[in-house]
Amino acid sequence: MTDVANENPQVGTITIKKPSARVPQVNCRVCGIPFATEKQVRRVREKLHFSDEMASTCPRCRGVEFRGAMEKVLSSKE
Amino acid sequence: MIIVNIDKCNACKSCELACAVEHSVSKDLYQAIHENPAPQARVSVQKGISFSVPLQCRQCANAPCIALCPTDALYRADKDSPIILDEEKCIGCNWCVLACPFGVIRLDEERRVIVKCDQCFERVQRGELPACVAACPTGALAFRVLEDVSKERRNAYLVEIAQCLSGGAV
Repeated sequence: MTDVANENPQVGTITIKKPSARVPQVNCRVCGIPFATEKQVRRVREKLHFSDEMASTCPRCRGVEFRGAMEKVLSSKE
Repeated sequence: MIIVNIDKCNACKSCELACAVEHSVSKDLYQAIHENPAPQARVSVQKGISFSVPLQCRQCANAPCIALCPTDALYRADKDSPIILDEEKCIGCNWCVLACPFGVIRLDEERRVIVKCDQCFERVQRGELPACVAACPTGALAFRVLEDVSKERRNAYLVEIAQCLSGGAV
C-alpha cells in the first residue's frame, strides 16, 4: 500500500484555494457591477463564440437589452 | 412553444404568480405563500417604455446553457422537448446563467439551483396548457406548435400581398 502511494503522490490529492483568495472580476459594461471572474468570461467567449459586448454584459442587463431591442424593432415597424 | 402577443400584455403579472404556484410544493396559492423557501417564478414581466413583455426561456435550438453545463443537469428529452433541469444534478455553478443570451436563467441563492422555464412539461404531458398561458387573462400568451405559427404568418403575408396587388379590394 505504501509503495503504491509513493509511486504517485498526486493521486487523490486536491488543491483547495484559500477562501480569502481574490480573483480579477469583470464589471458589466452596462451597469458596472462585477458579475463574473475574468476566467469565466473568457471561457464563455471562447466556447460559445460570444462577442466581447455580449460576454461583458451581466445576465440582468442582457434581459433589459433584449427587451430594448424588441422595442426598437417594433417601433420601427409602426 | 410559448408565443407572446405584446399588444395584449397589460403587465398584470398573472403569469408570474401562476408560474410560482405551479412550481411550488403544494401547487396551491394560499399554501404556497407560506412555503419556505418561497416558490420562484420562471417568467418575469419586463416593462418597456411603450409596452410590457413577459420574458422566459426561449428554448434555443443550440442551447448555450446545455453546452456549458458541467454536470448535464440541463438536457432535452427529445429534439422537440423544452430544456429541462434535473435539480438533483444541478450544483449551482452559474455557468448557464452566464451563457444565456437573453438573461432569463437565474440562480436560486437559497437552494443553490438554477431557476428556468421548463414550459411546464409535466402539465403539457397531462394535456394541459403551461401555467402562465392558462393564467393569462388577456390571451397575450399562447402555447403553439412552431410549424402552425409559421404557417399562419405565411398565410397572413400572402393575404397582405394579395391585398396590395388588388389595391386593397380583397
